[in-house]
Amino acid sequence: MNSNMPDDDTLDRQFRRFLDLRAEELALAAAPASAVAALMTREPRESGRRPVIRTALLAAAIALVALAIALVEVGNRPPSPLGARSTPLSVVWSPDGAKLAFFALTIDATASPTTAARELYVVGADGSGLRRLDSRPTRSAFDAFEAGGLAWAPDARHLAYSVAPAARDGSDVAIVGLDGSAPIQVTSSGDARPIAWSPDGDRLLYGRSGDLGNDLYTVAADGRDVRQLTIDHRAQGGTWSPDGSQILYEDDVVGGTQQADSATWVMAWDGSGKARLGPCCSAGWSRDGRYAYLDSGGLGLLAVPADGLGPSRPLVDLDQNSGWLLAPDGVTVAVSGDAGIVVRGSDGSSTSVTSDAYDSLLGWSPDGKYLAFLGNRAVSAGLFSVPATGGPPTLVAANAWVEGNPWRPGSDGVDRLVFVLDGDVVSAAADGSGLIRVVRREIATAGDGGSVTASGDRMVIGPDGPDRDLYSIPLGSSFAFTFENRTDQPWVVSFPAMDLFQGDCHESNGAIISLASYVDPPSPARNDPDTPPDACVIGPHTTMSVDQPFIPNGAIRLLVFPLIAGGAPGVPGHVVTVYFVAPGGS
Amino acid sequence: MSVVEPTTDGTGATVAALDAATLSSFVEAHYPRLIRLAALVCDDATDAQDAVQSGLERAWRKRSTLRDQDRLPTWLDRIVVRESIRVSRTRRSWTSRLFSSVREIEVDIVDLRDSNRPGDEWLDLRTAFARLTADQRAAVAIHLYCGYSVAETADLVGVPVETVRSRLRVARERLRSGLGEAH
Repeated sequence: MNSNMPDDDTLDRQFRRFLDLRAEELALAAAPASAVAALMTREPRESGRRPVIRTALLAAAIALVALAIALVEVGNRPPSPLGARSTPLSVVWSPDGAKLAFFALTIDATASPTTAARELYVVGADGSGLRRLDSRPTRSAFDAFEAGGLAWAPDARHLAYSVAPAARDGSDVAIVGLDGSAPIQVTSSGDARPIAWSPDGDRLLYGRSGDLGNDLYTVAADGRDVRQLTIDHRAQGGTWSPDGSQILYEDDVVGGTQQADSATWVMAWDGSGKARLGPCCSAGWSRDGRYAYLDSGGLGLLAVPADGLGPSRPLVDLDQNSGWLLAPDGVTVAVSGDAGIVVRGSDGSSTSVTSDAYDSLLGWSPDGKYLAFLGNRAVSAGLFSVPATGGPPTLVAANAWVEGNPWRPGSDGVDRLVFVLDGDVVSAAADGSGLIRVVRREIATAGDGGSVTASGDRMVIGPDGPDRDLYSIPLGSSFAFTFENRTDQPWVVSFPAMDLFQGDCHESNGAIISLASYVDPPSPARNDPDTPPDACVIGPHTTMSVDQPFIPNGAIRLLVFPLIAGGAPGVPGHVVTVYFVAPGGS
Repeated sequence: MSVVEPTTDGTGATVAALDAATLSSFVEAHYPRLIRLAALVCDDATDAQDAVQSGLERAWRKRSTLRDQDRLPTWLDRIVVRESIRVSRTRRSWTSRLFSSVREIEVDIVDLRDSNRPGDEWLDLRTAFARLTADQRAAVAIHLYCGYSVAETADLVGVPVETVRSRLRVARERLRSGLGEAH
C-alpha cells in the first residue's frame, strides 16, 4: 500500500463519493422511471417469462458487436480476468510461442441446478487479446477435468480440441480458426479425440471409438475430407513422421485376427501401405524420419528403420517402471525412475540429474539444456527446472499446476514456462523470476472474499458445492484434509492424481469409508469396481477426514460432485485445488 | 412508507390485470433509488434496468404478502439486490465484460476530460470497482452507498455476516489498490 494512503474513514468517504458519482452516472444511462412503468403496464407477461426480452436481445446484439470489435482489436491490453469459479485447464503454447490456448471450467452455482461450461480461450503470451473461442455446457466436472486433446496447428492458425456432447457420453472433435470463424464440429458420435496436426498443418489426425473399437481418421483443417485410415477397430496412438508422409500407430490385428499383443505399425498418411515395424509401442520418430522409435518395455527404447530395411538398434535401456522424454536432438533421453531423473546420451553416457524417485518429468526446454519436473522438496512442492547436465534444481513456482510440457517453444523460448497458479494462467522464467500473470482470475469462493491461506485444510460443502475452490495444507510428511458435508445428500470427493488406499478416508468417529471410482455422469449405479478407486463418499451431514502418508508433487486437483441416485446428467461437479504450504511460508 | 395499497385479490395476478395508475406511482416512487442501487451492483445500466424492472414486477405481484408497509423500501431493496446479482452473474458474459472493461473505460477517459468531474483517480477506482464480483459490489453498494449496517447487509443479500465482512474486506482492499494507483 502507498504510504500516503489515507486512513480507513477517509477512504470510505472517498469510496462513498465515488459510489454516488457512479450511481448517478449509470442511472442517467438507464431508462427513466416513466419508461419502465410504461413497459410494465403495457406489456403483460406470462408468469415466469423473463422480463425485457427486447432489452436483453438488444444487449445481446450490442455484446455481439462488442465481441466483433474485440476480435478485431486484439492489441496490447492488460490481462483480462476470468470470472470467479473458472478453473483453467490444459494450458498449451502455440508452436511459435506467441500465444497460449487453454480450457476453463466455469461453474455457475447460482443456477438451479448448478451449471457448468467448458470454454476454450486463446491469449497472447503477454496477456494481451484474451478471446473465448468456444463455450459449451458440460454435464459434469468429469468432462472438464478430462479436457485434454487440445492441439495447435503448426501455423498457429487453427486449434483442434475435444468437446463434451451435452446429450450423450463420449467426446467429439472440433476445429476452430483463430480468424474469428465459428467452430467446426468434426464428429458427432462415439468418443473422438484429436491427436495431432500434420507437420504442414493441412490435416488433423484423430481417433474415434465406436461400439466396435477405435480407428484413426484424418480431416482437413476446414472440417471436410474426412478419411478413415484404419478399419479393424483396434488402432491406437498415432504420430506423424517429420515430413508428414507416414503415421506410426499400434494395432493388435494381423490378417484379420486379433493377436495377444499389440504391435507397432506404420502407414502412409492416407492409410495405405500398412506395415508392422516391431513390438508395441510407438514412441516417436528420429528427427530425420528415418527411424521410428519403439518403447518395447523390457528391451528398452529401440530405433527401428521406418522403411523396415536394416537392423534395429537399442537407443536406451529402460526399466519397465521408468518414464522417459526424448530430447529435442532426437537421440538424448531423460529417464525418470527409482534413481530420480537420469539423462542418457546416444554415446552411452549417463548423467544423474536428480535423486528423488517421485520427481515427475514434464519436458525438455527447446534448446535441450534444461528439464522441467514436478517435485517435492523441503522448501516446497511444485514446478522445478534443472540443467540437463546436472546441478541444483531451481524452484520455478510452488504449487504450480502443470499439464504437459510447460516450456515455451521457439528458438528464443528457452527461458519461460507456463503453469496455473492461484487459478491464474502464469508464465515465469526458468529460475522463477519474471513471473507474468497472463490471465488473471477473480478469487473464487462460494462465499467470496477468500484467498489461499495456510489454514485452509477444511472444506465445507453446502448446497452450492465446496465453500471455495482453493485450499492449502502444510507441506509435511502426510496429506490430511477434512471435508464437512452440510447438505442432505451424499457428495463424492475424487482424487484423480492420488493413489488412495482403504482406510485413507474415515468419518470423524473413525469409521472407515469405502473407496469407490465413479464414472461420468456420477451416480451410485456408476461406481465402477473394475477401475482403480480414487474417490470417497461423504454422507449427508457427515464429516470426513482423508489421511494419506504421501504428498504429491505440487498442487493437486480434486473433483467434488453430488451423488444423485439414478444418475444425474446436468449436475456438474466442482474442480478444487489443494496447495501445499511450506512451514513458515505462504 | 405506504405508497402502495395492498391488492384486494392477493393472487399474484399478472401485471396487466392490475391498476396501471397505481403501478405507475409505485414505480415512480421507488425506481430512482432502486436503479442506483442496482446500477452499482451490476455496474451496468442495462442490466440494472432489467433487474429493477424484474424486481419491481415481482414485488408488485407479491406486495400483498408484505404485512408491514413500513418495511417496503427494505423489502424492495432486498428483491432488487438479489435480482441484480442474479442478472449480473447470468447475463454479463465474458464478452460483455470485455466490452465494458475496455471499451467503456476508453469512453470514460474522453468523458472525464470533457467534464468537471473529479480527476484521474476515479478512472482507477472505477476499473477496480468493475473488477469486483457482483456479490462484492452488492456488499459495497448496500453498506457504503445505502448505509445499511453489516448485519442488515447480510440479511438483504442472504448470507452470513462473516461473509459480508469478508466481501467488504476484499472489496475495500481492491478499491484501495485502485485508489492507491493514482496516489
